[in-house]
Amino acid sequence: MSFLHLIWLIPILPFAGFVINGLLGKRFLPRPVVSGIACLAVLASLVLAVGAIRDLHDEQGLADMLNNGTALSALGVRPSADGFGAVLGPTDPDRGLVLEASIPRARQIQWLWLSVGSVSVKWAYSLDPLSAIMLLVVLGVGFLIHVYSIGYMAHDEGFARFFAYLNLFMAMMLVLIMADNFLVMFVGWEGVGLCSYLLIGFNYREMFNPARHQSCADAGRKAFIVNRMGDFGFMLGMLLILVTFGSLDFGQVFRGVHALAEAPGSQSLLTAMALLLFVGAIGKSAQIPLFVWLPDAMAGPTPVSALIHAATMVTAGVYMVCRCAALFAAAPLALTVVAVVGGMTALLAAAIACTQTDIKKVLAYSTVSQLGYMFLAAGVGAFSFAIFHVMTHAFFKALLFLGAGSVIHALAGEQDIRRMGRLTRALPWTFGTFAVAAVAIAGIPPFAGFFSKDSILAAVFFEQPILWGAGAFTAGLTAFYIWRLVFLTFLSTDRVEKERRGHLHESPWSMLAPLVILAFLATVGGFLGVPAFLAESVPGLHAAAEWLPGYLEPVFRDARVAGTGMGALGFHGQAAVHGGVTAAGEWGLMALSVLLAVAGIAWAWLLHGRGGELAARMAAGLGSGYRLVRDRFRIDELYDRIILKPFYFMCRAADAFDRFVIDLMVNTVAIATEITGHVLKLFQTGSVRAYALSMFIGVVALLAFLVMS
Amino acid sequence: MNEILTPAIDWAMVGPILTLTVTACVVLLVAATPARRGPLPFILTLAGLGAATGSLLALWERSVHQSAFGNMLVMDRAALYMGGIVLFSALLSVLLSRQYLERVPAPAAEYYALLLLAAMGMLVMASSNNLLVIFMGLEIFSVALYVLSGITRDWLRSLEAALKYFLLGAFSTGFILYGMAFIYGATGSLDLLACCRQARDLLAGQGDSGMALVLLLGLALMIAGLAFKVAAVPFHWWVPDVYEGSPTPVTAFMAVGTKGVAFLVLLRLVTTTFGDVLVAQWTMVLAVLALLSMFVGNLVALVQRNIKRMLAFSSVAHAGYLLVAVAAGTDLGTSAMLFYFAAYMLTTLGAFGVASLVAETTEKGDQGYGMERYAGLSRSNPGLALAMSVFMLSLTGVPPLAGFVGKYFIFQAALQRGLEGSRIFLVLSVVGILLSVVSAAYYLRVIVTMYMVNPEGERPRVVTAPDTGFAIAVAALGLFYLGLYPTAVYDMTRSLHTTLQALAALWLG
Repeated sequence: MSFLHLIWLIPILPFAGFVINGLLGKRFLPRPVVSGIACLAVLASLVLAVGAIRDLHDEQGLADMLNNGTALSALGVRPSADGFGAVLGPTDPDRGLVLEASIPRARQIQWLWLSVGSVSVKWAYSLDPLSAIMLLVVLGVGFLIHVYSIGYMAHDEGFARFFAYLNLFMAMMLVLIMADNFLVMFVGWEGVGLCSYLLIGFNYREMFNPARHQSCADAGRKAFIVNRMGDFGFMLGMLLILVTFGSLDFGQVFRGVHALAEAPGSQSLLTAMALLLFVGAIGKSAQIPLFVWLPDAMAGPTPVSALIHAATMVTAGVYMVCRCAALFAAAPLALTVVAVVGGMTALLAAAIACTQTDIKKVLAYSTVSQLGYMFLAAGVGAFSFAIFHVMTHAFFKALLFLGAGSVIHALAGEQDIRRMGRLTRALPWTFGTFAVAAVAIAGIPPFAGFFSKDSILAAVFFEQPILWGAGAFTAGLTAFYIWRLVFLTFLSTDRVEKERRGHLHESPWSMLAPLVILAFLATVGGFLGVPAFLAESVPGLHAAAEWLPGYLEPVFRDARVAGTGMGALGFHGQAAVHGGVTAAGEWGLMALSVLLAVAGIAWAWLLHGRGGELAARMAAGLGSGYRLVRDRFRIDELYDRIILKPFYFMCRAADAFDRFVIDLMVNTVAIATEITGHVLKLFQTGSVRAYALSMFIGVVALLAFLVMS
Repeated sequence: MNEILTPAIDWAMVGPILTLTVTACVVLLVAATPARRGPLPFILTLAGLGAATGSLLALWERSVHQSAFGNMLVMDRAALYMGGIVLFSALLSVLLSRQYLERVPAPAAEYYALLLLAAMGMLVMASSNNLLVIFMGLEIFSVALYVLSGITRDWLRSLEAALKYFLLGAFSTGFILYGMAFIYGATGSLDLLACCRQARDLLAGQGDSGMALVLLLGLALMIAGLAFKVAAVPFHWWVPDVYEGSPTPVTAFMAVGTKGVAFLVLLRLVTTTFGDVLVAQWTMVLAVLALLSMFVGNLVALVQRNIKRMLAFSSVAHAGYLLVAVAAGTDLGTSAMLFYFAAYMLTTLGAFGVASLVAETTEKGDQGYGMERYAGLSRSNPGLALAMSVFMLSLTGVPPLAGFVGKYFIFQAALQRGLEGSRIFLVLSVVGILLSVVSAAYYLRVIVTMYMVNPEGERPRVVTAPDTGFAIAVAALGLFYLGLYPTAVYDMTRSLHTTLQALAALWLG
């Protein structure tokens, strides 16, 4: 009995926490018990996940041995029905644990979910290096944020509800990650969307944007509906895949993709599938043109922003694209679209982030921008770098959000950075950890963001030079806006309102401990993927050379982009193909990006380090261009005007037809009946005749249609 | 002396129908005694429905093809499946009715008797294989429902609904009858399967060619009449007014039962009688009706502020989804439609059940179907709010609830037809999925209101009787069951298309 048999428990435990806290939390359980249950559920899942990942690598040998013809029946191991692995323990075809050969991947089949003719969809989980990394990130960061929330939510009356939702979110996210087929993934996909919606609207009574009469509940609804637009693409893509391959199992579908890719004329079909799925990713991961929901999602409590809208859920789109790497790699056009959308989003969002004055909004646009980087990486086939950045971003962005939460907590709800400043003495721990995260995201070596961002930029340089330009410029902007935030929030001049300054306090230890741990991770996390050329020239780093890309390599082995040799090995495999690139070139690129980061920080210091006069003068000088960026390119307003208004107009028109042409007569009837009390009046009024007339017209139209055809 | 030959009648075949009829008569007799005020009618009704369900299950076990009265009634699996849905929904709506009838000025015993008769008529129609029997069943349940929708005689709105329903219903029955006459005129037979053979000969040119046109007219008129019963656009005008004005448990039963058997008859008509003639024509007609229904239903529902009207337009939209599946005409389509219908039944009964509880009765009639009444329900009645959320999410099509699985089956069937080259089905699936995205907005509004809007003043706790609560809980849990383990029911529906086809094959030889 290994931990692998228990992976089904990983999503169940947080779900149990949700059920217990949701049903009993508010009325029967004291707060320490509620938070204890919630945190322990996540911790237990984390322990299970670590155990299962260890066993995965221990037992993978079995499948390989079986594949080499060794008889293992004495150990209770048999070849699996589809011939692609080994079955562990007693099992029937619809249940049980299968270990795949050649890839360290365990698949656990829970039950036969849907069976339609020859197509059957199983409720199945799989564990492989890709899902292992995601599991560890989500559970690790998730646990820290659970702990942080104990302090942050201490004064909130919805304490139990908050932890129940948070646990439900974890359960759904884990289902999404461990899904072995598109449909189970879709369950998690929708589930996290639902939780995100519930948590954004958590303080539903409060106004989130009084100027536009938006409550937090509205923000939640916006997020859900924009996400549903993406889901529409996901669902169509899923159906297209099902109809084409007759299966939704990742394994079978990707084998089908390989077979199909060789057939002539299959490109458009593969491209359509990939693009439809990518529409889903655009919605979930807030890319152009569906990114408008994420800044509004900041209406949720800050731990939610950190967990869902920075570290985990929003990266689900990136994860899905990487999970479908084989499909995207077989559709180069779709991959290019991914890269372009990612690059454009990175640049646009970073520009907006430079002008925002709400601490959480800055971070929200920063998240959108960083997600753009991840898609940029995936779009040039460097899937493992995308996941690498998902991981490092989870560390430093969660840290930034939690730090921002600590500031907001200390300032009793103040979020406007124009009314902050000079907080270092009052909040030393918050400042220290926030600064670490800011260094990391700016891309200063040797912090985590440096390695992941640099790997991405290096890979992009050889594939899409123009997008590299955008990406490099974005790197400079990133350093600028994040340090602008640091200067305005913690340093610069004291602009805090008097009464808030009075009860300024550092956060409790339950909030600071996660900050410190995350700061540690944001510092060293990058060493999991040190570029090879760097590792070779720096003594002591040799073992760390590209550990993470190497670990993920089996998953992306089949996902090389046709013709370029890019893919699993990313930039270095690429370099070998091009041949002309030397270590000097790589050093040069790296030096350039460090230079850009330093320039960004220096520029931020120049503008905001001591006072804001220079910044204000610059803003005035830039005039309408600056205002356009500050108003987020007025994309929300644009959507309002070209989509929502005509749409509601159409709905109202349809309703008005019903109401005025049809119901007017009915209403007249209703009033008439009330006055006279004569039910027989109904016979004499127009209403029923109007109905009957329209039905009659319908029949005539129908007959005419049939006879004509 | 010649002996009179009596045809052999298999009484067990009509067991469910007979049971319901007898129970209805007994309940009506009770209505004449003082016991009508007690729980007796309620108990008798439940017992009758239970017995009918039992004999239905016995028939299911017996064999796949069974017919009675010289093929006038067929008790095939399709009839039994839909009959089961009718009985189940009758059972749930009776459970919802008892508490409702305590506060509404309506004669309870008569109410139950009419409900039983309506269910009986639906069973007749579901199992009919003959144009005349279809008509008979249709009239039995329609008349019962006309009366039921106006059973609260003191309420003008209810009377208005009843009268409208009656007038327009009569109008649509006219279409159906006219259509039947045309079909009979063209084929010289009333039997659906015999018609099929004749129709084939006619169109193959072995008959009077003018008759082909008559046949076409007959088909069109029958589709129009059935489209009225399933509430498809442009025959849906009665739906919002009647749904709003009728007593809420009756609305629930009406929305499920009528739609269900009308869909089954439509399915029989297009898969057996017109299974291989005029296929392109009826496919196109049904597809256009589906498109219109999804479009109008979803868009108009979006701007409703009254929960019953919103659900009414939502039921129009759902008629559209179901029509997509029928139009597909494949075995995937048939089973998708039948499966989706099971999900639709649970959500409709559940949602109307909650609506009937939240409303309140005044002298003027039922009040409190406005959306604002749902504000704060999550705090006064967390269980009820949770159940309502489940119904709304299932209607939206959120996994892992039954509504999602059903939509998935339907659009899978449509997309398959689309990829085989039928462009209209590509349009249908894209538009359908897009509109179901739109529908999230108005279903979600209910959840938002329940959980995130503060009531004006104190929100009184809604009192839920155990039987009502039980019915709502069954509906909600059923949605999870169908969503997580759809295989059992889906396999059942898979066999039904074969049943329908086999029947035709059997007859045609």
